[in-house]
Amino acid sequence: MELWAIIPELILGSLVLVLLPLGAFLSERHKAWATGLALAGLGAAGVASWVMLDWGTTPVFQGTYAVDPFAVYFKLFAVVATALTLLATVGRFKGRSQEGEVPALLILTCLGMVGLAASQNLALIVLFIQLVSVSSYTLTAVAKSSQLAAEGALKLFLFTAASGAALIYGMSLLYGLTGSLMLPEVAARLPASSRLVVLVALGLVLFGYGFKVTLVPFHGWAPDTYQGAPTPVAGFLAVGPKAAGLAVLLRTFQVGLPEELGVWPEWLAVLAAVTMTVGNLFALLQKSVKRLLAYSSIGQAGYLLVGVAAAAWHPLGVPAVLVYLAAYLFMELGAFLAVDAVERRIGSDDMDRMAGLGRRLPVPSLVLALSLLSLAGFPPLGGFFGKVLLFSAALGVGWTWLAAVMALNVTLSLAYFARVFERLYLRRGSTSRLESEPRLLRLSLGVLAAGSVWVGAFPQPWMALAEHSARLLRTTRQTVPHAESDAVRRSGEAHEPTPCEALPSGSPSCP
Amino acid sequence: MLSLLIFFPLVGVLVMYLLPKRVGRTVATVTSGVELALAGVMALLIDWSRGGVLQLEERVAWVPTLGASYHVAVDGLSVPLILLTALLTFLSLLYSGVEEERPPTFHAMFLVMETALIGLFSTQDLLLFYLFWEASLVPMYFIIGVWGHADRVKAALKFFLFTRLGGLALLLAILGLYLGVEPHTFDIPTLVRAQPYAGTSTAAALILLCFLIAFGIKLPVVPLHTWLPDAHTDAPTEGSVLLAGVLLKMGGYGLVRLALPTVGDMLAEWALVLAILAVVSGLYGAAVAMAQEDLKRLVAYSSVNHMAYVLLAVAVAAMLGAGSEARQAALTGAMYQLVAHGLTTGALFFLVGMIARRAGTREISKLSGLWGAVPVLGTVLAVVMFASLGLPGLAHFAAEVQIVLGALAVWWWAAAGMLLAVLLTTAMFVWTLQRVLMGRSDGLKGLKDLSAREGVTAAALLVLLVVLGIFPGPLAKLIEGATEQVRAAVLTRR
Repeated sequence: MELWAIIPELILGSLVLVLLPLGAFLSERHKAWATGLALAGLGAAGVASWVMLDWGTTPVFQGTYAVDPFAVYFKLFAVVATALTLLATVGRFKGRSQEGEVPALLILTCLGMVGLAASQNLALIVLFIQLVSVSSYTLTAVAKSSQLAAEGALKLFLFTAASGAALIYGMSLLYGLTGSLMLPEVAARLPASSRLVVLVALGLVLFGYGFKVTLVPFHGWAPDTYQGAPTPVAGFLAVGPKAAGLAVLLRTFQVGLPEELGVWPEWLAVLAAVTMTVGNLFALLQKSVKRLLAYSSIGQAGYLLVGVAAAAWHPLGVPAVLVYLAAYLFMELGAFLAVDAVERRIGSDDMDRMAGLGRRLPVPSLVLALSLLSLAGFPPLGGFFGKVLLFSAALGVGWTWLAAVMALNVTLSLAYFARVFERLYLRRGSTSRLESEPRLLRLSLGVLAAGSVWVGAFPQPWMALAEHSARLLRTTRQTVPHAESDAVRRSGEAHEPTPCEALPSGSPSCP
Repeated sequence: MLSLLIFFPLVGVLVMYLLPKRVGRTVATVTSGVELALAGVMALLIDWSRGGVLQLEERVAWVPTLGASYHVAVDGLSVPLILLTALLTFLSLLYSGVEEERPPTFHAMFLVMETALIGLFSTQDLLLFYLFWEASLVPMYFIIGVWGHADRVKAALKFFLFTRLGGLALLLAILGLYLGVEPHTFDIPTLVRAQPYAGTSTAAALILLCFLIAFGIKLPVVPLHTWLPDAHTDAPTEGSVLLAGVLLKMGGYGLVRLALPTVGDMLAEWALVLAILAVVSGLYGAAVAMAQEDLKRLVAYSSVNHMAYVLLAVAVAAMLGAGSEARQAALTGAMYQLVAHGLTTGALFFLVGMIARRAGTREISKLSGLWGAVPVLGTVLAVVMFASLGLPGLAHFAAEVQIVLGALAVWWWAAAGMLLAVLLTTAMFVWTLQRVLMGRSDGLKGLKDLSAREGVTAAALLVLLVVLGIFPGPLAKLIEGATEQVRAAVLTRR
């Protein structure tokens, strides 16, 4: 057995097993201990993952599970996102029966995300996607008495069922075509298959993943679920499962598909353009800040997909996605947690009730404004640097049209973010002072805001980490026995007219 | 030295929030005063006879994997604008509180913007340029939106969206340049030497288009100017001063610093269109200004007119076949125009603010006989307006003459169009002066003349306008050194 390779997973798993019964046994006064224990466990898992960054690339468990920096990066991502969410939920469910269970459910989702990012095997992917989904809709429905929560959870459940079916069908087609569930072998044997069937299979798989990443048209559940779920949970769902979905999307398309299958990057590029445009247009119409953030996160998924699409033809693609995800963790979670702080005090996330809030709740307002500025790509915040990388990747491939669409979308997003700034700072409202936010929530907000600034102003460590994590994902591919040599791959690319036509000569994808 | 100059205002912000609220304004004013002194020291440290050489250079790795570095240095293009920024920020903060008490955050916004602007004018790295470019936008949004006049929310939003669109176009152009050289780099001098987009090509055209959108919105050029009148009119006086005095200069600076040296050939290809746009902007700005009822809006539109000269100068400079003397004259004129306009329009917005505070209105029809009521204020207004219409001996004259002479060497009709615009501007300002200063001053009896703080603000700008008008030599020589460099870059390609 190669148990040493899954120490973080083992820590998380045993944490869940301890926390679930513990929640029932702890008395009211000691429920917070569960959170403390969970944080300690996350810390341990985080340290264990950090150590693994330098382990190189090793497939374990007969090649079904990858130990590579790419997977480790997402382990760290999941741990940090979960810990910050957990910190913000302390005391939120006080006196309610769910207080002991929320940490366990969050960690279960975290475990699912960690596994999803490392799976090299179609069956494992299905398993972990289900794990993330089940814990996600349980988390959404955790506020049992709320009608919105029930609606959100039900929607999520129905979408999960449909997309899960599509995913499994698509994967069974891939299995039927290649006789293997292993991604590298699928890649090696796929070229011999009927092209039409391959495309149908890919479309179905994309349905399954796209639901997690909230790609249009698989995004319908997101606004209702985010609005219904407890706000920190909504933030967590907008960040964690989306990142995990992108991770598995990247791995499947990078490792599991042969390069000759040239069309998919362009499909993804078109899908990215559609996703960001739809998300941003609908965000313009929202009154509820949570729904606004939900639609904006759909737009963000579109930006991220640009990187995924470009990753096929440009070396900057994967690092761009990874850095953008780090920035996204800080800004999206920061925005949701800030809204949570606001909601706890004024009892609503309606934009119009936030007039003049900048003076009444200074810290959450500031973090909300900062996070939104980052989402809109203002320097020196993380969203700025992430977008620079995504734009570079798109232009590097030669997708000038996609860069232009994205630029227009970013401008569009400012139009609805500005409506929030207007409420917070420009409009005058009630001036009565509100009780300031709980201390741990403020700590969480502080960390997230600092993270946004860090990624944007001093991006070098993030860039280095992302390049480290991205490079090794590619080496996974080269260990495949039947993989073509570099030269063959390049010539395969040369048949594609698009990448090298429009823009600069000399970019690595254009020999 | 340069880093200190760039980031010192942020230190002031920090100190402001550590000390009690009531000293906020004082701390901010002192900070900007020290910053002005630092800018002065910087001006003394550099060699004025070598404006074309990058001086006080500093370079630290920033994102080495992307080829972006913290690279700052100044030359003849940046020094005048840095001095202008430091001066106008200081005067704005000095003036703040004259109209109404402002909270510390208001002053903090000015200091943040000062850092962004001085950083922008001194950076030699494209990514850093973009960073500072966008960083100047957010404080201005809040200055207009929170402390502005009647329609502030709408004006702020318009400003935000327009300039943001421009900012993203700038980013695309920058990334286009970045990807054009191997190894990729954001370093401006390296890019200018490498000339990845010499000649005309689709890529060069796209990059130029993005540059023109970005800088055209800032400058602004008709038809991208619609944000300007609202933003300038509804911003608080201090905001308008900085907006018109410095922020518009970013557009002109960008054209000369980035567009001309990198995609100059393409620019030459499109020069005719740009010249037409410039003449249209010049005439339009003057004509529309004449129709304004609101004194502040009038000043705002006059900016459209003045900035048109800069675009014309760039078009002339890019144009093939122009005698190189004329080309350089035009470019030097453009940079000189930026400084002169910063001073005059800054002064005009201050004066309009002073008038509005006294008379309670900015409507020209309700103002009359200002000269009789407040003679000093009236006189200053008259002198500044004369400067603005290009009276010889005052700052604008030298700049506009050079640009028109440059234009004459290429397109006689452009020069003629600009002369017509000068005529219109003259008529507009003289007519305004006649309406505002002359006449009966019944409604304005008993108004106080300039206070000490107002007097210092006005006097500083007035003195500089006269000095730059009478002795354009030293500054022009500094700028000339740099524009010669730009021209050399354009020429080596051919």
